[in-house]
Amino acid sequence: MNCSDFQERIAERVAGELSAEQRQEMDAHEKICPSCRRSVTEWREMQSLLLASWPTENPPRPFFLPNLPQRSTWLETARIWFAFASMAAVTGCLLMLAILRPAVNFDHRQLSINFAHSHTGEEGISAQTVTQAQVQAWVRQALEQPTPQGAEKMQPASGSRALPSSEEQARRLTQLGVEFEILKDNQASLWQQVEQHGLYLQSAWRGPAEPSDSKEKLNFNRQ
Amino acid sequence: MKQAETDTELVELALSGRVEAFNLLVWRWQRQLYNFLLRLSGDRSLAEDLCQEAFLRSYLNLRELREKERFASWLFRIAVNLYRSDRRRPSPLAAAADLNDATDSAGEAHPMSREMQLAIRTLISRLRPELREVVFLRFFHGFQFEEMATILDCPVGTLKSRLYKAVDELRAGLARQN
Repeated sequence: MNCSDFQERIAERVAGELSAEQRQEMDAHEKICPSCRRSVTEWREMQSLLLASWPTENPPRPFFLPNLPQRSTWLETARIWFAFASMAAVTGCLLMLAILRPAVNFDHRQLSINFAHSHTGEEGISAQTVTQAQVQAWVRQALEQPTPQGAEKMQPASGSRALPSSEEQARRLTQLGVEFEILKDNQASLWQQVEQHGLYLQSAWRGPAEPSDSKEKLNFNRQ
Repeated sequence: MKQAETDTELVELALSGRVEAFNLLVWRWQRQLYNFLLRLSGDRSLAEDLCQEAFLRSYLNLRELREKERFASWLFRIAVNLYRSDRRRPSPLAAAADLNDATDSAGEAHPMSREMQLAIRTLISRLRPELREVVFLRFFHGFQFEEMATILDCPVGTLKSRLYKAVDELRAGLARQN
């Protein structure tokens, strides 16, 4: 080992970081080289000076972390099971929707949901589905009946209900009343439209001179 | 918990959820880390804040520590990065001039005079930052070159060259004063 090699490893030698072999080599060189021996001494003195110039002090307070409570095992298990149960519930709901295929209708601020296979014939007339097309057909059919305009004009404007001019008209009127009852019970979403058609129908029977009575008639029908 | 547990064992225990194991690591390294940051910054309040932040970050990112036996180097690296990114860094000369720690933690007066202390600290503070870091880590905290390479993210050869340069500058400065 020459002086250059010795100087390169002087820091490790002072800190005691050398392997046994390296230490032996440096020991041997140090014995025969006063310059390198002096370098080691100077290095050690420098280290002592530096350490003495800036003593270590204690921190003003300890830096410990708060001892947080550990998560219990059963809570962890419950959390996992809850996650699986939630997923199963959502999947079940999606399957039900796919099977039942509900028809969602939002008409005139009223929401109605009809399930394609939820009704059976055993539920009777009150459970029958009445479509908007059906109602329109009923109203159209009623409107096509001849209206007794002449007789209506001769009626007094006292607000009494117009009488049908024939037995056929009376039958139709009764039929409409029944159909309105069905609508009232089962198809609330369509009621407003039915109401409009009903108003038109009644005003046609009573004539344009008495529009204020129409609402009254309608209320009568709805009761 | 045994007193003689190594940093590696404590890191593994901390990773398994034992906060007290990490607190033992904190207890083991807090004095070294605080003094390193104090010497770098010269501001006790700042050193305390950075120290706390370094411990907290090391706890939160403990899973990222690949070589568990190198916890101390990793912790000091976090601290160095925090210090470098902190904008509150006071002047190194201010750190040198603070002689409130003229007595060591045992309360005994140090044999070196205050003038001498101030002179040496001033010499250290005038070193370039990368040289000062090396001097502190090597002489004051006893890190080996491999560990310093981890802390400062720098090759060992570069660190050696910095250390020799710092020692030469300090030696020249002391010679001028004498």
